[in-house]
Amino acid sequence: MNFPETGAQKVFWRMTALRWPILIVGLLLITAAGVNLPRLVKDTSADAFIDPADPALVYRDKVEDIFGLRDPIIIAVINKGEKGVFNPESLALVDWLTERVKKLDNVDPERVTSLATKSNIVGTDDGMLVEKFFDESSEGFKASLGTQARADEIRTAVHDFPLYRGSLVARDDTATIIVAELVDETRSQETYDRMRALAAEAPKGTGDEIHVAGEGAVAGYLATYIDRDAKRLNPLAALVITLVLGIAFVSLRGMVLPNLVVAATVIGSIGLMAAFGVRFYVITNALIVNLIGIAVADSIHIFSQYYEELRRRPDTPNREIVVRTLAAMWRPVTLTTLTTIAGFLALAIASSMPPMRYFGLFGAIGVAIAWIYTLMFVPAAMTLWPKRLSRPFRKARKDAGDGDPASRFMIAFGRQVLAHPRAVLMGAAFIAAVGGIGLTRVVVEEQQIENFQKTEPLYRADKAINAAMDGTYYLDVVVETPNPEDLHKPENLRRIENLQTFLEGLPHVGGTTSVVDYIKQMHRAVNENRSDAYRIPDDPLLVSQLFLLYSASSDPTDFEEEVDYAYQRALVRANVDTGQYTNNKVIVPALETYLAEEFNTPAITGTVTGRVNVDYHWIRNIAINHARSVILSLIAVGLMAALVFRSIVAGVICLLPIAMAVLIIYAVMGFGDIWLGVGTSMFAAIAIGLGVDFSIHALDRLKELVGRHGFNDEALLMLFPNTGRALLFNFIAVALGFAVLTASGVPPLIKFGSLVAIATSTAFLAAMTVIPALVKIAQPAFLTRRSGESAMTATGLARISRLGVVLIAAAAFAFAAPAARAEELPSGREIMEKVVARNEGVWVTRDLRMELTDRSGTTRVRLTKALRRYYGKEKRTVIFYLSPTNIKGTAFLTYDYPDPSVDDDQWLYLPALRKVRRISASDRGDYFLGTDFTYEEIKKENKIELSDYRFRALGREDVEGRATFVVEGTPVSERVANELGYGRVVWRVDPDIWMSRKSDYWDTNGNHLKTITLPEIAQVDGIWTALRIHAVNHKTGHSTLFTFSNIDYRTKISDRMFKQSMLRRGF
Amino acid sequence: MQGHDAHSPLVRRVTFGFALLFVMAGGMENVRAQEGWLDRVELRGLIESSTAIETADGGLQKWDLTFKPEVQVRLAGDLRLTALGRIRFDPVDNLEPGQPDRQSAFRSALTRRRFIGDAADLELREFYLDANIGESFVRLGKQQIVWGQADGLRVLDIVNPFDFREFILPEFEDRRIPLWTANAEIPVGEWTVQLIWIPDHSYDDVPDPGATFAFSSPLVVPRPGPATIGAGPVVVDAPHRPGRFIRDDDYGTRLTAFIGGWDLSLDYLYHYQDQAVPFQRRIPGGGIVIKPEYRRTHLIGGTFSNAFGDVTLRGEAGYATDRYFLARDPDDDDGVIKSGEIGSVLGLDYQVDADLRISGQSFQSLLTDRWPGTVRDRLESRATLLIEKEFLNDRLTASLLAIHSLNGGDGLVQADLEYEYRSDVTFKLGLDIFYGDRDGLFGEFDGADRVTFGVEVGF
Repeated sequence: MNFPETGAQKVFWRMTALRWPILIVGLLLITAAGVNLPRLVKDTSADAFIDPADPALVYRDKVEDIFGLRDPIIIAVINKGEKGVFNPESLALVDWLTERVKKLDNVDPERVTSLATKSNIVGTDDGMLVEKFFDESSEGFKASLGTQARADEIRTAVHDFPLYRGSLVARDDTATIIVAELVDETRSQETYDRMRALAAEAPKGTGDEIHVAGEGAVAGYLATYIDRDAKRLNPLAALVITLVLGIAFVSLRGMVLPNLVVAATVIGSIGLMAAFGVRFYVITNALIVNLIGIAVADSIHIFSQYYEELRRRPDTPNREIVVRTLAAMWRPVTLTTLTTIAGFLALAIASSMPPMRYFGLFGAIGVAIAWIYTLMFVPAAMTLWPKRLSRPFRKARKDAGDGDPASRFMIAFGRQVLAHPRAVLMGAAFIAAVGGIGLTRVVVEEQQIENFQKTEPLYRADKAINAAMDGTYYLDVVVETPNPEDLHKPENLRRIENLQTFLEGLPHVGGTTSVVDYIKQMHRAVNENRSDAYRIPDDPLLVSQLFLLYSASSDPTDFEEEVDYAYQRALVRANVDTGQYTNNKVIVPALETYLAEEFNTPAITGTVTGRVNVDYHWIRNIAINHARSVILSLIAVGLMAALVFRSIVAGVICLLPIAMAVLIIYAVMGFGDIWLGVGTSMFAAIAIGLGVDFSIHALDRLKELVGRHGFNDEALLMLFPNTGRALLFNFIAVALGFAVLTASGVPPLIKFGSLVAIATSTAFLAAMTVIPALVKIAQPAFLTRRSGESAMTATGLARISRLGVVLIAAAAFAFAAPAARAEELPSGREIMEKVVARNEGVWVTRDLRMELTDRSGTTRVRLTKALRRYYGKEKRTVIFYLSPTNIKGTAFLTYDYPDPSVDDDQWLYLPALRKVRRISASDRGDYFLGTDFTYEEIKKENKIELSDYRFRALGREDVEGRATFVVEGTPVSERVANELGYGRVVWRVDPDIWMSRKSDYWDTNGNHLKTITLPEIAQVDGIWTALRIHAVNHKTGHSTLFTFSNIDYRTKISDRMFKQSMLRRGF
Repeated sequence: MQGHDAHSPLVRRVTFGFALLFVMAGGMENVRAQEGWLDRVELRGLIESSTAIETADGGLQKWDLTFKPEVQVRLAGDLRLTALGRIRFDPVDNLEPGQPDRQSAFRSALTRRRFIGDAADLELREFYLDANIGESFVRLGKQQIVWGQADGLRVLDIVNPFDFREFILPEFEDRRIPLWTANAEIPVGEWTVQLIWIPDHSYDDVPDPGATFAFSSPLVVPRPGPATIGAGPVVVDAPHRPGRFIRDDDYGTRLTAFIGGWDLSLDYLYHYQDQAVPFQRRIPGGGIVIKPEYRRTHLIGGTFSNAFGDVTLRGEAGYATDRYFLARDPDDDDGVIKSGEIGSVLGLDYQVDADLRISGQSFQSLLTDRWPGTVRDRLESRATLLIEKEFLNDRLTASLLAIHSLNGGDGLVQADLEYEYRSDVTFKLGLDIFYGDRDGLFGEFDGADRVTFGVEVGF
């Protein structure tokens, strides 16, 4: 017996000798990838889909900083009674809700707006009266609070205040809203739940309804909503697939081993994502689905072939059967792997959205893992498993009456196809045409709210609120002028007024608000409330006086959402009652054109921003991305197929089933009114990834059959019982697996499940019908080229495969190099150890300028001299205040000991006391003398105490064009967390200089607390030094900028500078 | 109150005062603008307006307009010259009505204030030269030297005398009278040795009778009995200041160290007690002459402080020899009794959170001679409580200080708000309330309760 005879057999023979090492290493690798899984960071936000550098997003964030605007959660009180919401009970409810909402965790109490917080502006005999609608002791309202008379008065006042109509109170009085901005939008779901609980327990009056919705709620809730169901149903899909496998093979190994490959593939690729710090996005759920399907497909073909061989050679040793199986199957398995990888990489390259890029990249990695495990781990395990012929394979399948029902069905099916090849092709052409028509009907649209079930309270709330009010979707224009107080000029205000008129003419824009509305209201108020005075005054002085008058009787920060304190920038907000892209794509370009052609002059400019604009910009990209990725994937798959079969025709034939699947999806979407949105734009990619397998297997088998038997029906029919049966189960497993998702309550998942099932079915059907029919009619020459193992030598094929691998590797590298930098990521601890070990010189003297700026933009400046010296590992720092005069002489001294268990020693010299005060070191989380830096940060100077944190490398990120490692630190204990004042810190460490260029801090409640950036770093005396450090406290809006100058690392600093007596003497 | 019947002169004086301050401030700006030619000179200063209104009748207690210029010149090498002045203008003139006439009794010629009319006074606050000689440091000139760890209570902080123009209400920095001193600090191993020599014979500056904060408590003002006075007059002489160079100078030394986490100091001062002893002498045939004199004492003491978690512990204790106290017997021969005195303060500072500090102190003073027969108790105790809270990134500071005498049951409560409007502009609002027995050290000023408000502008 001269086995092994072929090169491939020899390779697999040698490989199966190493089965134990392969099994052990294989399991170890799964474990190794698995230990990374807990480090996976979920990012289910919608913003994740936008390139962080997208100008629309960048500008919106800037505007949010200036005007403090965030996506809010909105609570609406709706009352359809005679008086609408203007009855004592409803108003009391608004007051109750407002107060409760203010106290909620994660709600910024200063940014809660409702009738209970807003002020009325009316004229009085001696000027203007500004007072809260719900003020107990009010001058403007005569009736006392809680009476219908007062409610009527408030209604009259609101009717007299155009600014609030539609935006705060429905124009028909049936609704009013409470707008709450969140501190941390990533926790919006939790806050949404709390608000719903509040709404449930609120003391509702007769006819009162409470609804909770708003962008903040939708965006935050959606991701978790989808994620939750996906997590529940994906395992179910795996279970269904396993069951199908059980039916196909009636054998334990046939169920266990494919699942091991699935586990290796999914754990391996997701574990690698975690290791590289790539986040788990909403659509990553779809990646898992894809990988399960692909991993299963490979195993199904191996097992089919194995049982086929076993049936043919029942007495051959098990190992030889396994080796023969692999030698026969490695080629199609490798080919499908190469084509699928090509498809995934094309997707990655084509897409500009980070989640899709990573979808493609890690999809390709997963496919490669599946290939390795299928060709190495599965055979190794099979040689150990005692051979036993699976029942469905016991009979030979030569005739229709033979074989198991599945084989018989496939043969019957094949007969029909081969009997009517033209009809098959005509039918296919017809379906393709329908698909083409469907394609033209596909609407690019994304509206997050539509992802919810129509019975979901959030969905109903959104619809109810937007029906009653002017709209909760915001399209904003930031108006900027060159000089402070330019927005007091009537000509500028009139431009804004015209802009508002234009905006109000746009479809679905219910109303607009701006500072101009306030000015008009105030102007009317000072003119005896005459309605003809509801206009912009002609005199800029009068405008400033109006503001002055307002601030005399009320809080001037009432305008901070409309205009900045310098009256240089203003925000014009249009309330849009729908978030539909189809509407956005009309109004945003119209607004852009208006601004460019009619509004902008050197003296005043307007820029479009707001959620509506951001959504428009990134959803617009979906269509482009989608088209690009589909075309690129098809080209890549077709080229790869053409390459491996060395025939352009083969490439085209391979593409046909996939193209059919894609077109059918379009047809379903087009006729089923399913939008092409974020989620649905992935289906084409999934269809290609899953569908190409069917073509390749079918074509490869046909090549073998035709090569051996020529173009005759008998030969073509042989495709069906074996390969066809394997593909049938492949299709059933995947299609049923994902059909399970249609049981979900979440509309996107239902769509997802059904479309994947349809795509798989189509690809399978097309592979089993169009390809044989086409082959029968066209008799393509590449199939008759001598092929199979006898002709197409292993080396020849290997050469082609190698070329494919090289091409794919090159593509992967080209993509991966900038995107994920596949080089090894050091551990968080290693990174931070390097940060701590960074050379700082022995001593340094420098001038430190501190600028403390509060939310209103008022800045206080302190000039200091800061000295630092190391005594071995002990670090001593002293800071002398030189200016301003009233705190000059203040000095701070700290001894920072290398042993973290020893408390540091700190002293503060207060010139008014002329005493050095010892201060306790456990206050290191306190803010240092009014800055946004803690004592700890002041003395550590961009370093940290390693023993305070547990570290985790999250991955990589570009900060201002510099590649950085992202490291997360979690305090080791609650005590340390309380001391530091942080519950979590994320640093972005530049590995070239071992400094964190940007760090984010969360408080112990998980609220995003502050961000520290190092915008300017330079080498001074050969030592990397931060020249500027900027800290922004997101809770208070306060920020601190440290600017260092006259830095000197060379001049020795005397010991006495770090003595208490020096604090008294002053610098 | 003078403010009521002299309304228009008051307005004139205020106008004049402001004009004066602005002219001076403008002058300073000009000098600063020309800094180019004198880079080593640094000029800065504060302009302050502080008004106090008495809560009893709403009358003005004071309206201090203060200008505090400061010049610093970096001379060759490590030498640095610092001068701080103060020009104060108080048109209300209730704190020191007219021109105080006992200046020469309290202060040496070079330390005295200069008066311009009744309302304005000028003082060279500090004027010293700093030099580093190796690791040692020398400061020569008019300066403040502060010893001790206690806040507001003094056991060891007695190197410099105090100005009682507003009792103990203003900041320590403004109340201490800087003295012409030679001060050297020399490191010796772990320790630093401070040597001071004070040839400046200046003592506590006490308001004249009739001033708002003139002392009247029997604890400090002698009230001779009828047997002593007889039928004659009571004559109170001005205190006699010692004047001999070297022999009457004050000398002190202090050793400080930071050992094992503890800040420690040992202090010794040989000095004239800053309060004159009111010796009384009978005039044959009736009457009495009170002739206050200054007496020398040795003070030896020490301090410690350390931080434990959120709490800082600090304390000081001292023993003074030859202290004199008013005799309880109104017909005592010389009216005073000599005794040693042990004083101690123990303080705890508790940092509740980033912006809230609570600090409590307890003070004891014990006369060492058994049954000394003094007006004051043998053991005197006081307690203080300070609550300090900062808001808006330290922009706004609120503080509450209470000092309570456990013997007399009287005390003082001070509530303050300071708002840093800009780097260089601070607004202040304050409330000072005295309570308790009119014979007590604090209770005697019960009628002087006041609300203060002011603004401080720096440049």
